Amino acid sequence: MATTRELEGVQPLESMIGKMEKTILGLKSKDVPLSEIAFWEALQGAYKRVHQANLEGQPVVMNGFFVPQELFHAMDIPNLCPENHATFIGQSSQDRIEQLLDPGEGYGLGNEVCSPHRIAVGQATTRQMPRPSFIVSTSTSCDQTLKLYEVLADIYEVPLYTLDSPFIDNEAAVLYAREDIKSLIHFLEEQTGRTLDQSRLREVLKISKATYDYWDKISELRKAVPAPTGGRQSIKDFSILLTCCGQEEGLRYYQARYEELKEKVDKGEGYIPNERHRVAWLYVLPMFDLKIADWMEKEHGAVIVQDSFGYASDDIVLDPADPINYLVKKPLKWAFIRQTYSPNEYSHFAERQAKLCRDYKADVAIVLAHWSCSQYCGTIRLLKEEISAQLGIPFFVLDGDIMDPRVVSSAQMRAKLDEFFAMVEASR
Amino acid sequence: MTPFKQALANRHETVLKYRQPGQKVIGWLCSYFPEEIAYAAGMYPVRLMGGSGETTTADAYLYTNMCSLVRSCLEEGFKGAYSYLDGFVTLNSCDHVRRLYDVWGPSQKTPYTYIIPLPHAISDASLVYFHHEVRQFKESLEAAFGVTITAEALQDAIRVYNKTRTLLGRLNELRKLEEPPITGAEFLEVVLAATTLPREVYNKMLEKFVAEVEARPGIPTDEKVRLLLVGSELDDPAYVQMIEDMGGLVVADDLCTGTKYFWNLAETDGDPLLSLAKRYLTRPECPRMRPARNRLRHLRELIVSHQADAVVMEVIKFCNLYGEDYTIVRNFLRKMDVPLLQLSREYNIGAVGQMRTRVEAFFERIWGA
Amino acid sequence: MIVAGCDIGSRTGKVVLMNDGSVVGLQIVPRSVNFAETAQKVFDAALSQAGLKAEDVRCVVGTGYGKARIPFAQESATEIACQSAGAAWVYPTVRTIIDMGGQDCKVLRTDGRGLVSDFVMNDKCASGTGRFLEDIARILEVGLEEMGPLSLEATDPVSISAQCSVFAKSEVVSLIAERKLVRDILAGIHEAVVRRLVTLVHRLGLEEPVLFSGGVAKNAGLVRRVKDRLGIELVSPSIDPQAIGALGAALLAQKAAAKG
Repeated sequence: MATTRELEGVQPLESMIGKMEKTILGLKSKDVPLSEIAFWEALQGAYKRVHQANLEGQPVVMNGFFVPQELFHAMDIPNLCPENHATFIGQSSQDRIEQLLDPGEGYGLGNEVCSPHRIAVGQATTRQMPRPSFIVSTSTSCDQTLKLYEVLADIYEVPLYTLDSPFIDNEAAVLYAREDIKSLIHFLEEQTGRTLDQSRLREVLKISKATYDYWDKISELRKAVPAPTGGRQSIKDFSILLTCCGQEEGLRYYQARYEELKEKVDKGEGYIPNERHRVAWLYVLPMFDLKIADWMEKEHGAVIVQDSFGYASDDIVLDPADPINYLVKKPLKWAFIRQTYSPNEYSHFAERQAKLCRDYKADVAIVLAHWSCSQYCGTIRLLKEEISAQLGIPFFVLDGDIMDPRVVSSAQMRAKLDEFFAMVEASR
Repeated sequence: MTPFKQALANRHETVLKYRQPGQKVIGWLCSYFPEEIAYAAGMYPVRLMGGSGETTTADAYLYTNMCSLVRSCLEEGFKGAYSYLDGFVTLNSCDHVRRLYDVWGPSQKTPYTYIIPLPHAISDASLVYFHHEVRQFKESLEAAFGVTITAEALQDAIRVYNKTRTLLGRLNELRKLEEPPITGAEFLEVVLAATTLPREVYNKMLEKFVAEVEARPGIPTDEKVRLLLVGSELDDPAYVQMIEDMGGLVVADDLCTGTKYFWNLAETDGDPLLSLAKRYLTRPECPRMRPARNRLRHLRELIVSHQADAVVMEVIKFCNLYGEDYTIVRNFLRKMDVPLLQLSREYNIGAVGQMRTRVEAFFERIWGA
Repeated sequence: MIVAGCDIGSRTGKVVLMNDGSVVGLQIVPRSVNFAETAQKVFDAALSQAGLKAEDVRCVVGTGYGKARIPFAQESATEIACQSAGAAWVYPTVRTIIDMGGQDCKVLRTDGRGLVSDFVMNDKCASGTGRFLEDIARILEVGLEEMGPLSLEATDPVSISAQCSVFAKSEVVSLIAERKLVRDILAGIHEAVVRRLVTLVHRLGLEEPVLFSGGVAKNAGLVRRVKDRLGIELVSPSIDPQAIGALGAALLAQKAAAKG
């Protein structure tokens, strides 16, 4: 427990919470959509809980993206996702990013390791996050995720539980996954000395389900022409889903977001005035240059109608009446997981991405070939062939990195996108 | 040239020479593959390896930031070197192999492909699950090729493979000696040959060979650095040779192409599929497996029992499982006060200059200490 | 009607002057630090060559890395647009264009009527570029024009394994230390460059006729290897391949001026 060791990450978290407070107050004094304020309040709430627990010597868990955080919420264990946290760092200055990439690499990770992971390790070795009491991770979505949390557990010298995510979700795999969740619950109870209250879990799942239902509805709304929202806003959506799904604040954000988008769609209002290109952005935007989405909108009238992280699998139905099943199936709700962590012949992820393009009436597809994500890059050919065969829309591969600005600069990315959009315009 | 070296030097010819009329050849990648099942079906299991030369076509189907082993395997496929395969089977061992599998099916003409889900954990529950998947694979193979794999055939296969394991185990024991009669390069060559030759042929050669080696004089090691070699898939004995030429002797390894391949026997009683699932799941672990403490404990045992002075970890560029295991192994070995050298490599040995410098400097440090 | 295309790249500046569809001036100069200066210098040289004055030129279109810095250009166009326009003029039914310039390498697919349908660029990595070859020439102390022909005289080509240009350069230094012959090292380097290129081509799929443009297209060693590797013949451009981008820009200038 933290009380026997010097507290870590106190000042950085305090400062972060303070900055968010300023942001919230600033937003409240202006006429901004409710979801913007709700977003920051939800995020701030999550960090406040971690900060408080850290100060009080209460258990804090560090978790991976696809861990069923509802269990933590039901047991009042504040949780911190270092990969999600890294996305905040990724949005700050190049200097700041390098200050964390360098120690991460210096610790012994090569520069081909996923940049958010290098940042997460850099954060750990420079003690900028509260020290966790234990860590919970998953084997999905890739080997790097699998190893990152092992490395963090080794740095912090704390217990680690890794959920063995189903590669193919057949019946036997689901049974195995169910046992795994039960085992995880046992682990959490052992580590905290608390008992998981089933009725509390059901409450949390109810909120979680309501949040997912909004996500589904928002996904539907985003299919509208003109697109009611753009790429940058989508980042906020998944950030909340991954941080506080099962918390009231998370649900408030999603409700506000849904209502705002519904209004736009009912009025037939587009996010940008002159929609010339509907972009399916297959991967995620470069975190160190989210403004590239704004730039594409302004320069080329190109709006990101859907991206890989925002796309929900419509064949996964979550039923809170069976809590264990709910928690097993939850990660599969992300179509992205199917692509990163299942065989194409089983999940048909290339076809699903083509379906994404079709459903959202995308007229171009752009893949950000995240340099430090080899396994995703290995799917690009399959995606291209499927999307070309089914839709024949221009498919562009943009080399880059989501958090390491030194791989491909903002200027270079924009120059290439200029070339691409010029080619598309010329052929129209 | 030993028969093992010969078999490896002309791998494809070896397979075509020994393939029986009508016999199916199953190419496999990753030593978690339960080979006995293919053997019991009367098939000829062959380990997939890459070739020499560049991978320009494969790079366009995968990506240049993927491991050079899988790119090289795919390139061999495009060159037609694997046109004799009737099947290609692998597991979700690592991201790179998974993508190879995704791309192999649509781009190559291999009639049968299968990917066996392998759990990441070693537990009672994961064994139950893996047993299920092993059975699914067996049934798939039966259906695809119109064969029946009986329990007797599986028991027989287990006996044959256990024989290999026992023999290779005996050979490995000799490496514990003060003066081992076999180099690391030669040892790797012998183990690799098992994955290219038909098993009965190989077992005969091996039996003879082990007796020969047991009678050999040992190699003095007081002037050499006794090494434990670990790391990514390594199927090039010349790489080990280079390290040994610089003053080392690889007396132990934890390679999937080395001791991991034969370490533990499969049980001969009970349900053979369960026995196979258990044997493969619980063999010395890949860094993809949890919990890691078994793996680290095994490394310590190897170091102590083979009296290794130091550890060399070779990592193929972009290999995530070993690349990101480095800091964990390093921290563990530090506590044991055992020196560790990490070497980055490509699948095909290229420029040796950098590697030579690092190995020499590493040995100097150890001799100095 | 006289028009001009001005392509300011990372290593050189190029201008092509056209008069009613014929090329009347073509100049290539090394880049000075200042893009604007380079542009002016090459423009003046071309005008002088054609016996014309700046006022005679109805429209100038700029392209290339430094396109925003050309003071006398009325418009600018993307490199892709200029490459495809230029290539189509040189060979109307061209389907694939391989453009290797100073700091990037592009492969374009066109529909055979001048319209680009797909492209792939590799500028993240330097080892498929003119700049890389220049650096190697310097390390081996050979002239840029000699490297290609010399590479074809290799008797025992070395194999360069490094994928990255930084490592390739240090690999070359160790090869020199190992007393490998310059021509054998050059052969290895040229092989490595062509490897990168061939992968790009495979990503798009190859379709003939194929045109090789850009400064590096003048390297006989690369041209030979590209032909051998891909098993194709290459279109022989009737103008300096390095000027195809500028030519395309001039054609676009013609179109723009005709519109008024």
